[in-house]
Amino acid sequence: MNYHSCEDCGEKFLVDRAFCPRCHSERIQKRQIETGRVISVVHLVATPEPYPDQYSLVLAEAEGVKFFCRSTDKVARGDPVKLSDTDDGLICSLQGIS
Amino acid sequence: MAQIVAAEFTRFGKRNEDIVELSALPAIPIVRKHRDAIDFVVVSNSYSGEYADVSGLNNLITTRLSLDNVPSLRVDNTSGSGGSAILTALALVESGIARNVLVIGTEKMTSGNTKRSTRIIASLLNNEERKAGLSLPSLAAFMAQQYLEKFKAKRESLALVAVKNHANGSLNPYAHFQKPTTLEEVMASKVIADPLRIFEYCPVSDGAVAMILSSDETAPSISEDRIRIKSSAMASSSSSISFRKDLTEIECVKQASREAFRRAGVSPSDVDVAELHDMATILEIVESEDAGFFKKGEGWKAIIDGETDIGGKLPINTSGGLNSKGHPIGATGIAQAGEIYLQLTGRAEKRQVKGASIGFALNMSGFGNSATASVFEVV
Repeated sequence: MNYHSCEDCGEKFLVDRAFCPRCHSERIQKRQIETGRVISVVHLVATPEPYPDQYSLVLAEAEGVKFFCRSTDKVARGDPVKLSDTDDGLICSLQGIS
Repeated sequence: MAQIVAAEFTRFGKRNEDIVELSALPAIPIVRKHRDAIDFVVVSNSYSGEYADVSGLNNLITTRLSLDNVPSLRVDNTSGSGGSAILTALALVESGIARNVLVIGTEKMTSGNTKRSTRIIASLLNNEERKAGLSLPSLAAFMAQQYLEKFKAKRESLALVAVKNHANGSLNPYAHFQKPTTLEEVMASKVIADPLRIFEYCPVSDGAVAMILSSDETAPSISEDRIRIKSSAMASSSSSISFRKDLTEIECVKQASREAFRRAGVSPSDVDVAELHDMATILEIVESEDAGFFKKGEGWKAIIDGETDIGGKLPINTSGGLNSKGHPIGATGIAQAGEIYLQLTGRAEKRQVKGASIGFALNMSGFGNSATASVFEVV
């Protein structure tokens, strides 16, 4: 999964931007992360198209950046999760985490 | 300064009219009386393209009303379109571009199933967040979890918002749901996004509302039933939800409300009746704090104590709110101002707040992406 980091002030953010939200620098780098830690979980049963009919939505954090992902595992606060940016969206799982 | 001099409603719910016919419906009695005075039309609508395959809705509506030569525009700011439309109409009047603006809030949403609707509404999210499968209702669930934990709030306080708003909706002939409910019924209803249940979310509704916003100079010639918009202020927050520091508060609600009260020269304690943007029950509580009516973390106690009931210290969502009245996206902000109009002109019938003279409305886009706060007073 990618996030963005400002080369001038170090601000980190998920959503692509033309300018750094803190110092307005245009020197922004993409960074990749593969694991994160769960902050909170919401089990959703009224889901939007084109996604499955139920899943857990996870608010997670990695390297100081917060992001949302989806999981079918029984994840709980504090769990480390593996992130995969797939064609079906951002998925997180307990698999492959030791 | 400008005044609201007329307001007309359709009942919210599943409606058979197409979007143009529905939008014209509440405007017909207004146009019949005030055709020659209307010199601008502002339409609040967000999803006519997605649900009805219609663009340029404003011009289709003016033709339907035979106001073909009256200039019009459409304001789209998702759930906050109505507040934004009022702000636009105010700017037109205060700049002298128009004197009497017909403002119509309208949306037709019941043509698709819930899964499709959830997708359409989620299209306002940034793709980096949307692709996880996020929905707007799920964000309210994150907020509810964090609020309950942070402030050690009682779970039933959220459900009691739905009980109160269904009771108010049962007194409102324009509401989608017109049946009271109980705490037991709310807590036994289906979980949509843990911990929030279906009775704690607004339904998917069609509906339209129309009003006239006039300059102080022309208003007396239009109607004797008038309220003044003392102030209307808009503020914005990041559309990136994960970028926000704290999900238990909404920064733009704080800013817009603070500014609206400052410009109006009144304080939150002066308000007699308020309409807040309760897409989910938790939002009414969080907004009631962020607008300045209750201390942070104590809004839930006010619900339990009945302070926000009709007859309480500060009645909130006497219309039934989005929760019971319904939330046809583009109509909502106009319906909120419309309810304040009925309350301050003493025409809210069974849900009338006695002696109400100062009103407040808060309309929000996205999930607190922006907020428009307005303060009204009786003329």
